Amino acid sequence: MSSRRILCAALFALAGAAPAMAADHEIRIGEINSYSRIPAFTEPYRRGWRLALEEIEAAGGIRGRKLVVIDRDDAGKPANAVRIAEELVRGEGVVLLMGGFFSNVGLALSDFARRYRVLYLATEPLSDALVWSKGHRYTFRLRPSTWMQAHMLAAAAAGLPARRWATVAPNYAYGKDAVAAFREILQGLRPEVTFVAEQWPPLFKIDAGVVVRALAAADPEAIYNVTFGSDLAEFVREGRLRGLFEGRTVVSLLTGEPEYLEPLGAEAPEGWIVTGYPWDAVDTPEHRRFREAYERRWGEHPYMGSLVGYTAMKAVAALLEKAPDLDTETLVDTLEGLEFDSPVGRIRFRALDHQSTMGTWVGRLAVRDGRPVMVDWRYADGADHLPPDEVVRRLRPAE
Amino acid sequence: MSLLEVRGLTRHYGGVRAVHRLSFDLAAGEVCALIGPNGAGKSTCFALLSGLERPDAGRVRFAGTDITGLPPQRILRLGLARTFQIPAVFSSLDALDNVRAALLARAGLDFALLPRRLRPLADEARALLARVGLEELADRPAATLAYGDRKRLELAMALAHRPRLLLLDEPTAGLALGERFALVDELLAIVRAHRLAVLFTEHDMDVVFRIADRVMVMDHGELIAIGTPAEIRAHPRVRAVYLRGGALDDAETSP
Amino acid sequence: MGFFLVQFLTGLASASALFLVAAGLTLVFGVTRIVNFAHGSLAMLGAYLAWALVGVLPAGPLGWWGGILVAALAVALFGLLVEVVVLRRVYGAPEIFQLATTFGLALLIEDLVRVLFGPADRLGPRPPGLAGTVILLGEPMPTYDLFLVFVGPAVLGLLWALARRTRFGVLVRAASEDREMAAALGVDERRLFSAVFALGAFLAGLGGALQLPRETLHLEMDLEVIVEVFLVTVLGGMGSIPGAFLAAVLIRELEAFGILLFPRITLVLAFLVMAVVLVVRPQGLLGETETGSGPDPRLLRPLRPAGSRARLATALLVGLLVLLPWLVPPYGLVLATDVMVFALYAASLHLLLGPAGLVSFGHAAYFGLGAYGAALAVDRLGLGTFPALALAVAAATLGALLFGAVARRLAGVYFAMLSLAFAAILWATAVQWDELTGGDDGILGVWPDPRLSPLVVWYELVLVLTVLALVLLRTLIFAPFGLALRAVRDHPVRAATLGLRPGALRVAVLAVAGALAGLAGGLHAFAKGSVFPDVLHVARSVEGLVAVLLGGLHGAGAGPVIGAAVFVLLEDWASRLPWWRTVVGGTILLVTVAMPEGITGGLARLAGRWRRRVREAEG
Repeated sequence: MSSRRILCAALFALAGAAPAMAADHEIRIGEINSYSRIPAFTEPYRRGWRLALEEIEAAGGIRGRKLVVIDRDDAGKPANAVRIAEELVRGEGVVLLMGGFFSNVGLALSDFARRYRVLYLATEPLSDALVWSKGHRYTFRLRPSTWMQAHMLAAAAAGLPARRWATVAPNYAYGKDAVAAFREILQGLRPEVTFVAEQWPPLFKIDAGVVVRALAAADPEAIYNVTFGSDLAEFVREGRLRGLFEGRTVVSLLTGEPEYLEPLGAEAPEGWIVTGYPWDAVDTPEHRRFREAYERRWGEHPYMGSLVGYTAMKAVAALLEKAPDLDTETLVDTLEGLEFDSPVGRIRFRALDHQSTMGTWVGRLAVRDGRPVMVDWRYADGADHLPPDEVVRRLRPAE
Repeated sequence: MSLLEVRGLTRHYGGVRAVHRLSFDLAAGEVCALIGPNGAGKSTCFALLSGLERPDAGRVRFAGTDITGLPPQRILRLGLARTFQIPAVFSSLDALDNVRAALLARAGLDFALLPRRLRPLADEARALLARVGLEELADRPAATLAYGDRKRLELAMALAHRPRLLLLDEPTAGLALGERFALVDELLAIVRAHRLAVLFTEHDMDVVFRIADRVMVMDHGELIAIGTPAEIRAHPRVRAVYLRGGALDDAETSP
Repeated sequence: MGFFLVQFLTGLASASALFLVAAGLTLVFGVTRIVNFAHGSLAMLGAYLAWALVGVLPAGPLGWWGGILVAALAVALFGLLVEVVVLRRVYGAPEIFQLATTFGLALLIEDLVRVLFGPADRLGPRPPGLAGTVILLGEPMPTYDLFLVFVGPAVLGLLWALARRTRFGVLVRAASEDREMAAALGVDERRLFSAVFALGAFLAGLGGALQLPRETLHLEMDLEVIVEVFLVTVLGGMGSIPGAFLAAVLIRELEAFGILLFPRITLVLAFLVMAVVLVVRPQGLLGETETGSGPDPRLLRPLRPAGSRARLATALLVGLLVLLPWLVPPYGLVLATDVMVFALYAASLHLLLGPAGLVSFGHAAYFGLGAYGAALAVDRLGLGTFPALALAVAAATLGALLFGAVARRLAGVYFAMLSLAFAAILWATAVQWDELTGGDDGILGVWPDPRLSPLVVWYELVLVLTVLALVLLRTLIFAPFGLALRAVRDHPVRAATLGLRPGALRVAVLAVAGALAGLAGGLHAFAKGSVFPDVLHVARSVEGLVAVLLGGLHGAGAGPVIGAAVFVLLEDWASRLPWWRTVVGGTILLVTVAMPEGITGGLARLAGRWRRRVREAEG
């Protein structure tokens, strides 16, 4: 009795999973991201690519075909992301995958892409491994990587008088990569620099008070910070309260991005050297156009996520416009070396390692009218902050 | 030679002498009652004999083997089985499986992984159920059996080990008056048929005097009297500390 | 010197907030015996409410403290509502049911907080007057932290006074020490439970709210808090409020000084201390020993071998599954593979929960050991698929044997909590020992051998292995081994006096369940091509429990398979919706409250009712 019911239920469920085959008049792409896990970043990201998608739609689609994005939430779990990828590729007939926020999700999707020979554009994950130690033909990455951003900051840090450095980073791969890259680059530029303390709070579980005192106890001259999100806010508050930042320069990864900066409010630590996104101050024509369109569409200012999402969709559109057909191999060949226009200027996907040359902004934090902002910033082009080609070639495994 | 030899058996809990220097013998085929007021140490005595507790001092020999401090299953294997005051059966198993669980424990089959290893046990299990009058209820879950039937089932489980000595903890407690004698008579029949020795505790003096060959009386952890029912009835110390008058006379006058 | 003093005081300050939340959980557990998985969600709710209220109320001390207090009271009220509407219906149920119910609640509350307060991280303002620092022996110390140092002992004192000096306290103590006596005293249990739950919720809300100036609020807080609070409650002794205080201080000081010595293994350290304490004192630092609560009354029905119709239906179903690749599109096959792997995992857990009566809250340990075993075999040793699967099974079996050796004598909640700790240690190890496990980045490239990798081949292989494993499980349950297990579950003392070996049987059944969970983990690794620490996470353990309960605890294998199918398909479908937590959580609540015997049991009941009606109509 009950067994037969199960059987029926199973059949229904599987029938429901039948693929909605892509029609000829549309091109489907899959977008997977941690929408419910880290909405502070991924919601603006989604608004960003939606805006771009609407612009593409208004311009008549891709060579007359409608671009359809199937977006799904992986809840921050790599295993979910892989399952969704399988569904999108096998069931929905998408021609490529994009997205990912956490590095582990990005690496899992990249591994999936290699195995099933699907193009994957990693939009947000920063892990160096994506294009270097675990790089392969089918994965490309848009944002400047951990190494690139660490390089930008190390270049700025090398100009400081400080010799005794301390580091604090979340205890997972991103944090470790970011610290290792920074140490290597800074010591390459200034061999006399020493690192006197390191703290590794578990991700999003910092016990800020004790971490701050542990750092202060080593009495460094400068601090390199990699914590972000909730860890960052607590670290900043406790650090200010307990005088950690007095007389010390702090160099900090990503802290200038409005996603992370705005929750700090007026408590934002002035004088920190950061990478980030001074959305209100970047005044190039292409950025102004993006910002105005975004604000008109969504009634809020753009975040870093918005910029990345918008740029990613523009990259996909440029790829699909140029590719002679939608076969994965053709798409990969086309994307290698592809150049396209974005709010940050012209960007290229390097054929060498599939890293884009999108850059980011480096500047100092300040508080103006009770609002945290970036000042003295400059745009650091990604192309200027990459290792020499022969080094990259050694980093990438042979195909 | 006696079947059970207890010498100086002692168990204290903190300052309380639960059992203190207990010594007695039990012969094969003998039915012996252990009585005493609540807290006299009868349950502790059973726990010590069946291996659920370890004695602080003293020795227990059973059928020529020293069983002092052995684990319960070893003692059981030597032929000393017990039942509990509140019938301890496996509620989720049916009556047949309860007995089969006991049988497979005897056969050392508790790690056997094939269901068919259970099949040969079924006939013996049914026979044991029949002996206690439960053959009709073999398929009933133990949880749904009447209280008296659960006591019978427990007896069947104890018999599954082909014991030579049965320790019965209040075999008739919780039963209606009529049911008590029915159970006791059945019990006696089984005991006689197999020449089992029985040591039992009991509050109902009618039951005690009806079936016991010998009666032992405990008070405050010590044995204060051993004798035939007639001797016990007449024992002045027993009358003083335990019976508080009345109970014995009631028993005398009952049919 | 000053440095150590300030570090110590900071540890105490963190301990205070943790203690408040833990005190609420342990109080509720002591009286109602509910292990409330949603307790962390209540703390999160309190924190967000405080954040909102402090923002709305006028600035100044009155506004700030008023906001905190009103937030805590609102959480108490919310707790009362939850108790009356939901929890009251599951008091009689065994721990796992309550855990699943409160897990469903936790999912719902997370969505509620998301709707009310939005997804962004929030950091609240510091209280006026306590925003600065004082200098202690030359070291700066925030005044708010100093204030918190006193909050913990103060609340401990207040709770003590409440317990000793008020009638309510006497009733609470009576109810936690001896329920029957309390009933005999004429305690109105319903009202007492409601009051205690509201008080527990108040403490959770207050603990959450008081962290406002020290901690960023985010939507993952609930799970983070509950894991820490479980740790503290178990370490201190379930039901012991002073124990919770002691444990909170121990854990926080361990962190405060541990990061100076071992900055990279703070997570492992805390769980390791917990495990060591539990091995030496299973009841926790100040807990009282408790005997097992006895088997679930739902289990007190004999298992019967399947009838011929059920056998036929099963055979048909398996036949259909064999032909599935020719009936459904590829993604259906992917989903079916997921269902089978999860069914195997759930069935192995069911062996423990059902026939063996062992409540495991940490079954992910074996799934994860299997997954990592297979992944490492491929990644490090370069082994093929089948040797890697064998290694997965071996790793999980070894883990289960190790755990069994330690936990064989524990029963009930203490067994459950030690299993939780065991899985938590493995999880923390996987996260922090990245030289071996790759940490959060996991191990990639764990794909099956080329000849096995076509989807259809892989699917059929998983099908064969799953069916074989399930047949094995069922065989075991009906074998003498299974009979002995059920006997031990029903009455361990009786079983021991009969000559069954409860300790050895428990270790053996753990090994079997661990081995099959390990096989499921290994298959999972190959199906996904990768392994991440989430295979060991507490959420994975709870998902297994939920699947078993959805299917029904009673029975010999069909329940968990159905439960797993429902759970995987429901999650797959719901994950497309923005409100998937509400959907999944609501379903769990509905099943645990309205259909406590699970889907199989519920269907059987409906079928029975229908048959009776037919008979009546005919008669």
